[in-house]
Amino acid sequence: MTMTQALERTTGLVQVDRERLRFRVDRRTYSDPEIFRRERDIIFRRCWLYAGHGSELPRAGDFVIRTIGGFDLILTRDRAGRVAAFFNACTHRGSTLCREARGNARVVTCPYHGWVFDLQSGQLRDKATKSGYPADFNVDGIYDLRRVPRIEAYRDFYFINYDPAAVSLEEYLASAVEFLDLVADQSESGLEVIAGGQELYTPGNWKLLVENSYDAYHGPTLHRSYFEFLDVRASSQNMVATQRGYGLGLGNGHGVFEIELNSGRPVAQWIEAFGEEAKPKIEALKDDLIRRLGDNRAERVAERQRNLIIFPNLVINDNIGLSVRTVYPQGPDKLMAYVWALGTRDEDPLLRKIRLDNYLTFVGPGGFATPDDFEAFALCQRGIDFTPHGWSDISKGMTRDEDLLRARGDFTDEAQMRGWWAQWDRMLGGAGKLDA
Amino acid sequence: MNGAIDRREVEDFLYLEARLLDEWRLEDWEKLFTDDGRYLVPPVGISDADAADPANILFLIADDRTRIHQRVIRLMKKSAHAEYPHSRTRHCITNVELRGHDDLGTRVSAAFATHRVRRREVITYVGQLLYTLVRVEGALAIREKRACLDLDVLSPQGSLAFIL
Repeated sequence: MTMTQALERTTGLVQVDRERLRFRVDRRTYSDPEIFRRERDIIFRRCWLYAGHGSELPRAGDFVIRTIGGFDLILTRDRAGRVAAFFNACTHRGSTLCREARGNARVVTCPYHGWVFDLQSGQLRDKATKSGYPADFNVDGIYDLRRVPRIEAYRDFYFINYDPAAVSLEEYLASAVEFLDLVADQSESGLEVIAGGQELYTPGNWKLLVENSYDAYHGPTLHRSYFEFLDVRASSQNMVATQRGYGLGLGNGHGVFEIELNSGRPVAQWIEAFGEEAKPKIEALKDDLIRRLGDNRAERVAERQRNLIIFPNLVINDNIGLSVRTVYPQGPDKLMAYVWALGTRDEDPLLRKIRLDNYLTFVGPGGFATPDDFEAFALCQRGIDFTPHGWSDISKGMTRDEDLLRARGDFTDEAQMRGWWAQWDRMLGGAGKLDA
Repeated sequence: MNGAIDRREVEDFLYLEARLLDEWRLEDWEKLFTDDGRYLVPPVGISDADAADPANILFLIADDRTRIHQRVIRLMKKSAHAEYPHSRTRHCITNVELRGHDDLGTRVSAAFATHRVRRREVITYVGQLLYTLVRVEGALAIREKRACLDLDVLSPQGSLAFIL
């Protein structure tokens, strides 16, 4: 490849200096309206985007509405068990159709002129178009509900893609499938989304939340008060000092860090704070993991924690609980996030209670850590917007010859983030088709 | 021991609580709770926030007495960044009604609008407060405080670091 071609493939906004081991990102990527528009038109129109979990649509006719990559969607399950994604707008004049957040219905009726659509097939019923239109008015289906071009699932995690020519989901996920498997393997009966998921809006560029989600470097400083709380609960062992692990780029911009930390997990790491009653229940789950997965893999599923990013915006935090978030830009300086807690299907009520408790002390918007993350986003956004143009540094743990998309480092390094930015750069730089 | 509780006494008590929160006297606020007291904030956008159980669904906050104490300790630290420096807040309480008595105590409902002022912005958290109050050694105490937000999504609030 000639130098000219190499330059064409980048935006110039990500600066890689292998001599001085500096990886820097132009701060306009967090503030510039034109870059925001390019992200919306390229990243959110070509990548696979997480839409929902199969457990959210247990029965035929179930639907949820959701805004994914700037488009309002209806996700439904049909009688054959398939999940479909439609755009939530009437094909007549564009009115929003479904207005309830979730429900079960055979049809949806537009509030404006009464056009009726079958929610399973998307077909227009002819009730409101009987008179005044030719008999073959919709013979080509042009007035049926518009479908999202692609929807595919991996182990009950459903993704959509607005690009009909996109590679398959599994190819896109690259080495991230290994970590999705570790998450899904927790339960033979599957995972489920627990009621009470949140939709929230907060100041800050969307990438600040993405980076924060698999950045272990900030834990001991930003979340000092949370770790002090955990240490009290776990009878004074120093949690931060006992962490060990690695960070890794997984190809196509995906990344992960995986650590050992004795903070307790419903599947399956018992700690004293969970109480004696929970001990045999958690040990039984561990035994079940060993039976199904063998000693080594069971150990990894049960005892290790992992923060996973699927490029560009799906965060799966499999730590003290199991949470899934997606984040979207609302302009350059404001973000929206969906946040869900997941548990295992048929989970013991006591373990479910422990799981929720564990989760909301940390991750929830009212927890002991997440509000401080949001504060950091607001402070970064302010600092970026109100000081002269500069660069953000993502060099920690960089090595001279690392493959940026698959770099490996200590879990407190930033190798996994460099992979994300390298992918961002080549997508916005016009790299065309994705390759792992 | 269980002297009758009337609305006027309840109102005085709730106004005291609101003032302690606005003055960030959280150690004094914490003392208003019974030893088995709970502070709950159900998720937004659900229809049965008054009855929802934090053992089954994901709450924003579900503190038992121990965690109320830990929350207070955290919020008084400089390292609780979301509340450093402390926001100005104004806890406004109206529509106070006594809703009956049972084994657990006296049930009270009230409307609230808590305004949080931070970095050039005023953000309002609005909803209904549901209390279970008991009399302990002559004084009122909170056995449960449940703050049900009238929001469908957390916009523009984003998160909830201070106490409603």
